[in-house]
Amino acid sequence: MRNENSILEVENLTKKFGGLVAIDNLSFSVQRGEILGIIGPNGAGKTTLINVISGLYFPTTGRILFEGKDITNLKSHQRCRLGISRTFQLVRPIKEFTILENVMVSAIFGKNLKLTKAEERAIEICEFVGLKRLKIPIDSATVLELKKMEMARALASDPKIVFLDEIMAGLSVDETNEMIDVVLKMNEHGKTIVVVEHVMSVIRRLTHRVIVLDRGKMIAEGSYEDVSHQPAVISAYLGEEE
Amino acid sequence: MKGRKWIYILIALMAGFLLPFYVGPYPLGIMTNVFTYMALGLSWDMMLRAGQLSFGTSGFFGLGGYTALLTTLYLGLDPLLSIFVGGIFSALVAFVLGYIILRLRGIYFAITTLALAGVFTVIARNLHDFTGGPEGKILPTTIFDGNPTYIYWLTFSIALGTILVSELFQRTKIRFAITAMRNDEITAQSSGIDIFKYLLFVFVITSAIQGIVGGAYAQQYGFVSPESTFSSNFLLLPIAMCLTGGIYSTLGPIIGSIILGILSEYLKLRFPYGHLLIYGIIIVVIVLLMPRGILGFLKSFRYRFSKGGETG
Ligand SMILES: Nc1ncnc2c1ncn2[C@@H]1O[C@H](COP(=O)(O)OP(=O)(O)O)[C@@H](O)[C@H]1O
Ligand SMILES: [Mg+2]
Repeated sequence: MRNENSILEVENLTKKFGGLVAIDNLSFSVQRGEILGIIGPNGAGKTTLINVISGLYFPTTGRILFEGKDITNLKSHQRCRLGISRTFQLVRPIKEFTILENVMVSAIFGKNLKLTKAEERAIEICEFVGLKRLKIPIDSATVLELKKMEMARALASDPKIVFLDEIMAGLSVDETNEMIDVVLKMNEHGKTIVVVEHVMSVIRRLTHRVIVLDRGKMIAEGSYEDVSHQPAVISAYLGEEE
Repeated sequence: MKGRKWIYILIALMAGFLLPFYVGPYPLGIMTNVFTYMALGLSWDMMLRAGQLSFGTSGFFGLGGYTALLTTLYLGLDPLLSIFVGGIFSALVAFVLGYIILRLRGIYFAITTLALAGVFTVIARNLHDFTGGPEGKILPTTIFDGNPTYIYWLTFSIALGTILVSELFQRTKIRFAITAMRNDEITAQSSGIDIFKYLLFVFVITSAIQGIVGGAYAQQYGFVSPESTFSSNFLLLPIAMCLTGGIYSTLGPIIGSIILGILSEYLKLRFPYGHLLIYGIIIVVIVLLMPRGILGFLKSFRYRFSKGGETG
């Protein structure tokens, strides 16, 4: 089971909300350096999975191993400092802060930097993701800027693995292309990336490997080409469109 | 601009320090009171900055007051030293209780702190042999033999120290932690902030300040009793002052405590009967007209003018 090259292993993970089983006995691993895609219809449990892995929710049963270490009982901030970070599908900026300050928070506490060092780092990372207006208040930021801020914040803690939750949603074609370039660049810089995405063309262009979730269960795994032709996957997606 | 700010601060410091040489004991007493409430207001605001509304201010104030007075009474502790012991004791109690109650949020936390302050009062009233019960305890002498100048300097120093702590909260990474927590705990913890640790830290620090202020108050009068030392004045007036001056800042509570502290004395002289009613009405009107306090009002005022024609 244990694979030397895997950075994250999820073992028999189940998350219930009352009677609803959002994640259903799920096992998979993420390889160091890969871009793994997680797809599935709305309500499949993708966001819940990220919430459980990042420590916002604790699983009902199952284990999570990060670099071989059991992190199932660690709190969110501890997982962040170990090197697991994530973006939020619905962006969650600190509204009283500027874009730059939002990114600084994660540099200060996720990477344990002093204020001046954290500011330097935050500026570099904003540049990396293509943010130009750093000192603007949150309420004058565009959707693209907020999405990039989420990415920059996730990167500022210097993570080993980053979970991106539907960062392309609500973006134009050009903006999506720009974001894809940023994600690829992150991967080139050595980040392991898990992209949760609804748009299939994005998954096709980004990922090395794909996992398909439906009602909390994995129904397919493999390369995009393999997976996208499987009947179970097609019916899960078709079922949604009805 | 930066340089001018420091000059203002220096002038304010000098004025505060030299005041006893220029005014009599009555105005000095008023300012002693102002600094007492200023420190309490700032400490309450610091907890609020971390996102939690505390109603425990008078509780930790009273705890410090009793501790200071009783350690002097029974152990012969130097009054000045006993004030710090009062702060330490309040901090210890806050640490232990904080471990339990800082899992609560919002109104649940607020009500629990209020209940705890009530419990402290009941304990003080019922430990007859130790605390003197409902009558309380009296010391044979008051601190500095009641010298108003020294007492003024004492509360002035305590307020200064509190201002310093408040500014540390505003200028160090503490500001990033507590502002983030106050806005969104989920974002904060995902960014690596140990929310519980910071809440506990702020709760302990602010309780220590409240304990020190309470200790100084008890030594100033050489007297404690459940009704006077745990009085809800030490909870409600600081809050009113913060709301008047403006929350989430150091300057707001300073402005609020000076204005309301002096105003209440003026009203007392002017309207011996009914001053409390007028005082209450004025506070309500200020809070209604300026929801972000005087400081917030001045800021938006200046903003509007510096923007000139843009917003009209
Ligand atoms: N905090 C929660 N409480 C109750 N149910 C939840 C909660 N979060 C998610 N769910 C439910 O879990 C299921 C999976 O949701 P989610 O993980 O958001 O799906 P996805 O991100 O794949 O669209 C949905 O049925 C959703 O309603
Ligand atoms: Mg989702």
